[in-house]
Amino acid sequence: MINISISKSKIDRIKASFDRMSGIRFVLFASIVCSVIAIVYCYMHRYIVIYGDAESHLNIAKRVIDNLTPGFAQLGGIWLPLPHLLMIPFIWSNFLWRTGLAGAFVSGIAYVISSVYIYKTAHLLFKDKLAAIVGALVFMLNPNVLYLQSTPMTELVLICFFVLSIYYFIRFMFGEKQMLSLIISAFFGFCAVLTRYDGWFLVVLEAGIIILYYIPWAHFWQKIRSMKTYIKTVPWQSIQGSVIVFATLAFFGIFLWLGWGWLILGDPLYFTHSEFSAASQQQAWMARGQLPGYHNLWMSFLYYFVTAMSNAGVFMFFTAIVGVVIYMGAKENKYRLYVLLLLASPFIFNVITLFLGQSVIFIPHLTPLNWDHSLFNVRYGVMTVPLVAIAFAYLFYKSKYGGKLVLLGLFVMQFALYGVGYSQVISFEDGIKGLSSQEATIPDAQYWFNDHYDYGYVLMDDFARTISITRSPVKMQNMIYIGNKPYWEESLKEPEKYARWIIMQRDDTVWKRVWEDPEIQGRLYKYFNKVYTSDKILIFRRIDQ
Amino acid sequence: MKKSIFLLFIIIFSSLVFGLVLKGIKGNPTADSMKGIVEFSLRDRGRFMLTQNLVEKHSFKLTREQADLAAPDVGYYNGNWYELYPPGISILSIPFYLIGLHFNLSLLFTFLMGAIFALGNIVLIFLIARNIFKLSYWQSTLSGLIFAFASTSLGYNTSLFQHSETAFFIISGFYAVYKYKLNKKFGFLWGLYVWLIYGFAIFCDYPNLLLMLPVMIYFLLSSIVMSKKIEGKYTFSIRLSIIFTFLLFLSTTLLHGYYNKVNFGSWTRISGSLVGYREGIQNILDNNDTPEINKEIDSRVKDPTTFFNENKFIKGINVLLFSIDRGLFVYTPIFIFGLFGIFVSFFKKKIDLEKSILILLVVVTVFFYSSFGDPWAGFSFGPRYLIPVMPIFAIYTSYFLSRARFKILSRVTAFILIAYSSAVALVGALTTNAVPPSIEAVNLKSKYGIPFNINLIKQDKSLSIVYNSFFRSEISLTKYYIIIYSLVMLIFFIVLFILPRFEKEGTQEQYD
Repeated sequence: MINISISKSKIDRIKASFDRMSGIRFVLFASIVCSVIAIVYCYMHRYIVIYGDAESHLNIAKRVIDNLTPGFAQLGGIWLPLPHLLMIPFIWSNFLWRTGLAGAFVSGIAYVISSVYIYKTAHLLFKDKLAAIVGALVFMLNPNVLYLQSTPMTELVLICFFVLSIYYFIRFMFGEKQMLSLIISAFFGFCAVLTRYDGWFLVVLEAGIIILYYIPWAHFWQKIRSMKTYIKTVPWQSIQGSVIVFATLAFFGIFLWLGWGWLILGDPLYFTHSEFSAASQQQAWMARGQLPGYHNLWMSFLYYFVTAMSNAGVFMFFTAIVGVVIYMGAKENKYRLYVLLLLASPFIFNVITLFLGQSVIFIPHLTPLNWDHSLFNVRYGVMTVPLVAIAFAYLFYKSKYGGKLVLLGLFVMQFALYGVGYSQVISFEDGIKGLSSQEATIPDAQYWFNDHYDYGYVLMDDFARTISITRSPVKMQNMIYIGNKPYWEESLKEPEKYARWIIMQRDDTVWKRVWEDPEIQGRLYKYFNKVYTSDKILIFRRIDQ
Repeated sequence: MKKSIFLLFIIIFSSLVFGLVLKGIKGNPTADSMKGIVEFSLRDRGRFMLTQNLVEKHSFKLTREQADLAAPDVGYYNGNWYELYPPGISILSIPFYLIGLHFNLSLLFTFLMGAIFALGNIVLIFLIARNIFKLSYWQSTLSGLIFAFASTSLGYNTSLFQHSETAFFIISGFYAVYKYKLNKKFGFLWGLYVWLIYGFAIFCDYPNLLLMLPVMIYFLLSSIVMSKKIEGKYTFSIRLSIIFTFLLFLSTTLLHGYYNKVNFGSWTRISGSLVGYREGIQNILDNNDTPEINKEIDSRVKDPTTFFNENKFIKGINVLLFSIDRGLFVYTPIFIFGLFGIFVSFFKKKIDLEKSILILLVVVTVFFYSSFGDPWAGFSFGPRYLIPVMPIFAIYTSYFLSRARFKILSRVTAFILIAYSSAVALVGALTTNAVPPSIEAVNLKSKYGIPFNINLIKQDKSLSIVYNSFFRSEISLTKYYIIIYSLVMLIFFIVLFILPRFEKEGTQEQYD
């Protein structure tokens, strides 16, 4: 036998210092360190703006303050505005805009707040500091989360408001400063609503849970026999009051967005059916028979399940499922179903949108090999990482020493799976080589244009993403795109009026309106030289006088 | 005494049935004489050829004819052919081969080794169910019988596949750690066994390095004792025997490395990394039909770990657990009760280390093989990759029955599921393990899954040496099948419905 003895006083000192240590401070410090390291790493390797959408988010924010026609109308009517508004304090700097750091700062801050509030939520639920720290670490060290918090994508901003809203909602359910908690939850619900459409589902779900929360479920089946008496026992006034307080603020974001669509674009539901909407974009996939979840609940579930698994990490995900099962079986957790519903709301939302054909995910685990693409939109799965983190923390909390060691071993093993190449950081891979990638599809025209651009306005259909603006030397105020009224419309009729450069891609708006119209094409050749030709892209430069 | 009677009964009955289904042919077959018998899987043929070479030529190299017979599971190095798998199983089977040779039954006796290990498995299942799960005698007996006759392991227990042995290494290693934990005085003997079996298991099949890892974690945790507050101190004690006995593992690993060095030029180069049959043949064709040493080919190293990938996991788990041609719960639906048993154990107030380790063994094995590029395991009968954890499913099946509230209903359901599972297992055991996966069967215009084997039964095609030698001229294979099946089901009926009447049920507290 080898004996290693540690005096009780020493152990007690370690224990006391752990007890003294603020879990929040630890998580705050660790998350800041992780965030900075990840952002610096991604910056050095130029990984921040590898998603096509990442650049679009940056450009929207940039156009609000720095554009041919700046103003809030540049926020558009498809993507919700809050992430872009949050970037504005940073986006004025061309360096922060072009590198994507303006967006990474926003996501990074959201990541730090999310980490702290995942800790706080776990602590609120289990009252165990160590388990709450483990939960926060599961979230913080997730490579997909770490990558997305280093980009201008909107997932981390949503996770932040989602976690904040849920934390205060659980406080409301637990009776801690009930009304104040509910109002704060509603406020963050409002923010989530203006961040991504997932937030809309969250606030509707929360409103529904408020009703369920007040219904007296104890001995329900006995009471329900006398319906009239039972209905009288339901505290309708409390339900009304709470729902109104919550919904007034939380749902205000929805009305704000509908009103914005009506005022700016003349259609409150512009985001659901315009040509730029997600639903319209799915039509092409549907026509090819490559929308696997459409009206197929099992496939919708399976696709999102696997996407969530791949983002959370295989070991973490399945361990979390065990945690959820045990949590649901623990009768001492009075509001366990509501807590689970709240945390699982992104899962439910994504399954519904896949089923309705409002979104699409391709993932190599499931997508048939003979389809055009096998990696697309997998980052949606990252939304379930908070649920996984908290479920893992619960299992850790419930386990004895041996179990805790096994769980920590699994946590470490998860990184080993990434290390040996068994698992990929799938949201990062999508940016590198998936259909979401801009990096994988940089055309030769980009390099040509970067070398030859001198000065002047550039007419381009930004939606077609022909070339990257952030990677080019063009200033944002020199771009003419669909949001620049009247420059855009006038340029499509008289291309020479403002633009020195015209960039068009097969079938984009400029191509259709300028190149395919014989009259305007004649005008084009009168004033411009075709200076670059490829299969898909044409670049014209104004003939110098 | 009671324990011995039950064990004796299980061993005698299992031996009888194993004898009736044992695969084999008379004589001492060579590569030439085995060519025509396609029902023997290439794994059986390859391993048998290697055993023969080890005895006759004292060599690990296969001849071209032998390589053709074992292809594509052969590697090519230095102008020579080798089995792609480590040679442990073939080495283990040498004594059986030699005895068989004496009676002009070398193949039969070599295949008998699997049955001997299977008997060991059944005994260990009984002991684990009885001593660790504290199940009653009939429940412990049932666990052993489910593994033996209601699981697809039956067909592999009488062949040269490594799964019966792997299952034995895993559960005997697990039980040895349990004994090591309990037995302070002679613990080092159990420790020696654990390390030895781990080293040798890797020499029999490389994945055992990972599959047995939970057992080694259990071993490590059992070596650490934490005593609280003795004289104002916390004391962690580590049993030195885990370190001393490690030397045995080191020795077997060195031997394994030496085998690699002698045959493949490097201590760390394993046979799984050699170029395959196709490249070897191409090299020979390129050199006017002579195997020439080709440094370029020899330097090509396949990385066996790249076969495993998360992208394959979902498809793999579907194939291994639910698919028509390989699914565990399709071939052996009684293991659904095993799964329930695992779930039930989660809801206990305290889940002990032993049960956690057994569950971890299941998780690791399912996870590992689900991520493998070929979860169908080539031409196989049922999910053969899962055989190493079938003993655990069998134990948890009985565990579930012990916890079920509606005793009669659960036993009747279990009996129905066992009836189906045993019928399937026996079909495979009497015919062949070489069943094409559905994707290949389509091209071969052949049946696949259970109907493939049923078809062989109807055609009286069996590899059972007892049937072929003594009964073929008397009765059809279908009748032979029905006789064995009736016998097996009678025993299951007795164990499920008669024995419990003579044994006091364990109380609920006993299981908490």
